[in-house]
Amino acid sequence: MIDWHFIAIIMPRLLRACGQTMGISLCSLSLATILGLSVALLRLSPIRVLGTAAWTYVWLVRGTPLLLQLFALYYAVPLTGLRLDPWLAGVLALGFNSAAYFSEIFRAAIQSIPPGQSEAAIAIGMGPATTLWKIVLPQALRPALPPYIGQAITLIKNSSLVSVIAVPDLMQTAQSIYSVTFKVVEVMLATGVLYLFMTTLLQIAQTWLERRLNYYTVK
Amino acid sequence: MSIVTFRNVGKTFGSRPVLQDVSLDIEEGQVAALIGPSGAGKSTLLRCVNQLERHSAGEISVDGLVIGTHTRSRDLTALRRRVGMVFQSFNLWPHLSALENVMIGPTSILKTPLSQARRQAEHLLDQVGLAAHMAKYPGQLSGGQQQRVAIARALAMEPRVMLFDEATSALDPEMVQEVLGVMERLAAAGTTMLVVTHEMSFARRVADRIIFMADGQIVEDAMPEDFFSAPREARSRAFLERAHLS
Ligand SMILES: Nc1ncnc2c1ncn2[C@@H]1O[C@H](COP(=O)(O)OP(=O)(O)OP(=O)(O)O)[C@@H](O)[C@H]1O
Ligand SMILES: [Mg+2]
Repeated sequence: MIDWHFIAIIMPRLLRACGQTMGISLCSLSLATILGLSVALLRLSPIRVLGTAAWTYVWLVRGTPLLLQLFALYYAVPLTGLRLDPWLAGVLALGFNSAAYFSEIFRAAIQSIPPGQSEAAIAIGMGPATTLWKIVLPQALRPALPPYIGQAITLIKNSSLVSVIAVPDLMQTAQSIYSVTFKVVEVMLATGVLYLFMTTLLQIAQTWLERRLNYYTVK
Repeated sequence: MSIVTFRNVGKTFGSRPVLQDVSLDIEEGQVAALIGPSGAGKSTLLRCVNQLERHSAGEISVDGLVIGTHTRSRDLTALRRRVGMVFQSFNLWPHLSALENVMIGPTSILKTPLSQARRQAEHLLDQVGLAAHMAKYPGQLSGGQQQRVAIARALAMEPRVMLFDEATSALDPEMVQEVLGVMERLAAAGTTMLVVTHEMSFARRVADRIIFMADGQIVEDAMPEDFFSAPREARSRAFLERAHLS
């Protein structure tokens, strides 16, 4: 039998931890979005070394486990004399990691815009930066959105890994509760519902944004 | 005074020559029709004028700006502001309304104040017969309407010369005339135009000059009456015979 009363008692503590997870996720999501777009633009730049640098970044980050990257930031970086607190190490690891995936999403979306679109902009004398911001990126948002949200959902779930470096996030809090009470099922049930709540918010955001971004295709 | 000058211009794609030793002078106010078989290099020649294709030999000058084969790409935007281009596939920006498509060049490139750019865009769209469709998105417009927006978009930059690359080839037959009509009015208003077209009757009626190309070279350059009634070159004759048959 599930002990509902117990769940009610631990809920306030889990909710606070859920706030922690949201904070970490939002910070790393912002970092990953900006970094991911930059890496995508480097990948697409005509300057070879920049393209190669971006490719190498994606190759390294996607080719190794997130847990290992987290350890690298938390345990290896201090060897250089720079100590990161667990929260910051967690945000950086999640941000750098997701940026690699985001960059591929953005790159594919940008490349899906027909070349005639930027050609028409170049032909009236628009510079490359304006062409990117006013012509290409606004159109790339629509195809980028579904995979972007998908990756953001992965980021939220991956954020549970920061519990291993003792960040008091939702997962870490859940573990510390059941390791004393042994009520694993109740704790994980409540925790699962909270993760589902956070990812559902993103799903709703996706539906809403898709409708907004369709303004010019709906006849 | 000539607005567009080609001096011994060559263009190769890889090792393949597509333009060979092309020399050409287009006078201010002139309407030149570029015709010739598929693969002759008509589009390439047109795209060299605004440097969407960089040429590989010779020199091009547009409105006094001299463009060599090594001109830095940063300096090409100044050239492109003086040249308007209309594409076969319209290439309107689907996320912007017709009005915004026309306004964005002046506001973002020339820094024209918004209200002024808006008035100018409304005026241009009115002139191409789209006063009732300014708020629509390209996806809501017919092909002929889209191409007329594209013409207004190019004109908004107040170019010194307009390039048309088969502007009516992608249109359903019933929409060809509305676009040709706009082009004819532009020509009558004294716009300098370089027009690649398969519409022979349009070329004959509207152009001041026919430039016939084949295999990357200008084969014949003549007045429309002379070209269509008595072509000098054997290849021009063969081309015209085939054009009449089809
Ligand atoms: N980007 C490119 N890369 C390689 N070859 C090209 C490229 N663009 C054009 N060509 C080649 O150059 C030649 C001239 O092409 P161009 O498009 O200028 O011909 P055109 O006269 O406009 O023909 P059409 O009437 O079919 O439009 C063609 O043989 C074409 O295959
Ligand atoms: Mg062509």
